[in-house]
Amino acid sequence: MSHQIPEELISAYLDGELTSDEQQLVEEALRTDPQAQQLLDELQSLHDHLQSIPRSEPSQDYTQQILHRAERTILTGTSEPDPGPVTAQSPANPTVTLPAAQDSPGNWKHIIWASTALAATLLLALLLQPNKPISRQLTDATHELPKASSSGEQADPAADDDENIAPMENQLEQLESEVSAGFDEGDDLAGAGAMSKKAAPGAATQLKNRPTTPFGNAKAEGIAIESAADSNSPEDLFLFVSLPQKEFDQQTVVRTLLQQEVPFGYDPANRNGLSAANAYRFNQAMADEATELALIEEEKAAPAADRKRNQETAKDDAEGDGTQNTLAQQAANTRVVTIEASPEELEELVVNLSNQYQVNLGVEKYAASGFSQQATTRRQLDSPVNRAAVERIQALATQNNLQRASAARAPAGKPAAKPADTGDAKPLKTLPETTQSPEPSAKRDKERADQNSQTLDDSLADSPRQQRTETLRVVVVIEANAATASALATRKAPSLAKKKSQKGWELYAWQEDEVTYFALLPGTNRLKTAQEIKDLAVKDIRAIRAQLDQLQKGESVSLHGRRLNTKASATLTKQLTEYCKKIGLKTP
Amino acid sequence: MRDDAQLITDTLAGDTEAFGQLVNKYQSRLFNTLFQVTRNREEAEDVMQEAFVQAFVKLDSFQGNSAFYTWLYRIAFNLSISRKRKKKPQTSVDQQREVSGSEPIDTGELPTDRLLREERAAQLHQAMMCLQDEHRAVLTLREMEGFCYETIGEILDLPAGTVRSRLHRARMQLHNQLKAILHENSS
Repeated sequence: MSHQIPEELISAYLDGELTSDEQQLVEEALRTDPQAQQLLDELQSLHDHLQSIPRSEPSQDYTQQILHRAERTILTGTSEPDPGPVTAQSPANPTVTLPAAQDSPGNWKHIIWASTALAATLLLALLLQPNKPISRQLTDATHELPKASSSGEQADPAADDDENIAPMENQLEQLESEVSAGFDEGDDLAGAGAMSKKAAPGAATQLKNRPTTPFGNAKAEGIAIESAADSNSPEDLFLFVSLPQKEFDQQTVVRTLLQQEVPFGYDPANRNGLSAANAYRFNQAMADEATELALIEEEKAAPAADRKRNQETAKDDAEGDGTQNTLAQQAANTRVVTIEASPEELEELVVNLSNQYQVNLGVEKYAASGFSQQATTRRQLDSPVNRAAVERIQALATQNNLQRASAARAPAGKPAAKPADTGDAKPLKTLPETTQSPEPSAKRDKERADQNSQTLDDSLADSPRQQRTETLRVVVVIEANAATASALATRKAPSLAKKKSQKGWELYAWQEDEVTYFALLPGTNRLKTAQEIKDLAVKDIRAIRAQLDQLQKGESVSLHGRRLNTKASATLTKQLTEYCKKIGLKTP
Repeated sequence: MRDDAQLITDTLAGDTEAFGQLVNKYQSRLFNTLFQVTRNREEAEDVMQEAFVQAFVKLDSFQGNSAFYTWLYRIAFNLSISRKRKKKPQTSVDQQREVSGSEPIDTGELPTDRLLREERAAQLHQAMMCLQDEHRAVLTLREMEGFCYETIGEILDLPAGTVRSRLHRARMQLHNQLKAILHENSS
């Protein structure tokens, strides 16, 4: 046969890949050469055998994982493998480099943000008072402040700080009662559409004066763990982060999530649910829809003669110079990301973020927010362990808010705090109340922080960390706050923020009553008093790591602790030393 | 139902879900091909995922001159080759088990027939493992995927003539190894 035609032609004949000349040649050979025919038969048999090999399927549907990795790759500019499932323990603070947003604008078209319909709806709801930051709306809502303003951001950066550190204990009781009462009424459970109709989004001028059903009243937005615990309504966790526009644009919070390897972006309760892009668009669409609904409602309400003018006014408000007050603008300056994290991971995240930004961790009821209960299947806070953990983390956030505010104010020589009865925005707080001095002073703030710390310690002592905890689903609402950008920039430098210390740093780790404590202080020539050290003690190794993260690379950190009761275990000491090295700190 | 071109356009416009549909559409097919070539499930899944990720990232550069899946397969094969170069070949017990095929499924056939079929499948796998990588790739793309020579050439960056000759060599090699079976079957 081989002297007649090349065997290769028979192979190609089988595939129908011959030219007409070649085909004629092969067909001729097949008629005259039994060997050629036999080869063709055997190749056909081989083909049949290969066809009979069962197809293999991947072990799972990788669609979501692939999309997650793809987004991650776009965000980080790297092609790291997926960190894995939500519960995977990740190495602390891997280095992640993000391209600057302005460097590759083209890439950002891929950057998308996830949320559930739940979160988006909340966002819409919160946007109903578009002149205020969301965190402010929440806190205002719970207090129904007589001077709740719609005039925009506070001009004085320090004012925010003062508000945040203003006493909240005497408001707590009121808040709780308002919340409990409100939840029971159940007249605002109609869902997003109803909410949009009920409360005008502020696009139309006259709507500002309409006696809106205060979506901002406590029953809609009340946040209090204790009261929520007493109710049967499902609830979810919301983490509100307010940060400067620039850092918002640079995805700072997302970087933090990436650094901690906290999975984000998709609704973990529903793998086939909203994709990130859809959720983002949904946010925008909801804002647009709210505007439209407001206009329709306005038309119905206004006399016919005024309709056109009203409509134009509304459009002007929505599209004109005052766009900063529009829903669209608010939506553009707000991102909603859904994360799933263990209480420990959430704590680390909150500590990291609250070292720099205003962070509030709140518990919101679905029903009270008008969200469908289908939005979630997890009653995560039913677990007492989780609830305790959340309370502990809230306390940490509050403590950090106080410390940061205190640190930001001190150098400026401004008054330390507003009077105790200042009725403005308060950080969320649910720990047992502490007594307070009406005297506004930095010292008092510090004392309060210590008290919080003590309370925190107590709650930690009661919190059975060894018990199994469940993963928490948290809706992170990230809000750009341009008006307070400069203020936040100054806040960003708490006592330990990316600082160099000429004499290095002293890291203390010791044990008392079988509990390990840590403290990080700037180095000095003198020996520090035990009280000095204990004043800054934290109990969680993650908290001290977060503080170490704030140090500039190359800083020298020496480990102490023997003279404070019992020295920390060698394992722990080694762990801390290794961590320091890992993040570029020297450990002589 | 959006076609591939529309899904790509939508993805580039920011609709990630559209890319999810592309993933959903091609992941099984791509995985199967990669598995036949690598004979390693884990490796095939890794490469498949990475190929989609890279496709997503580089979607801007997709010209549309060829079909999306051709482009995707090309990315996947390049990745596979690149990974292969970096890694030493390793054969695990699991891999050996995978070579023998999937878990038996009750098809109602006689146990002896099933055993015979499985034995042949194992022989076939074994014979394919003896092929050079480039031969196995071209054979898989033709026999399993049914791609034409031109498409195979695009995927593997080869002229159609080379595809034809490699395919022939691959077949003849398999043919020689499995002569007994094939002869029995063809007669």
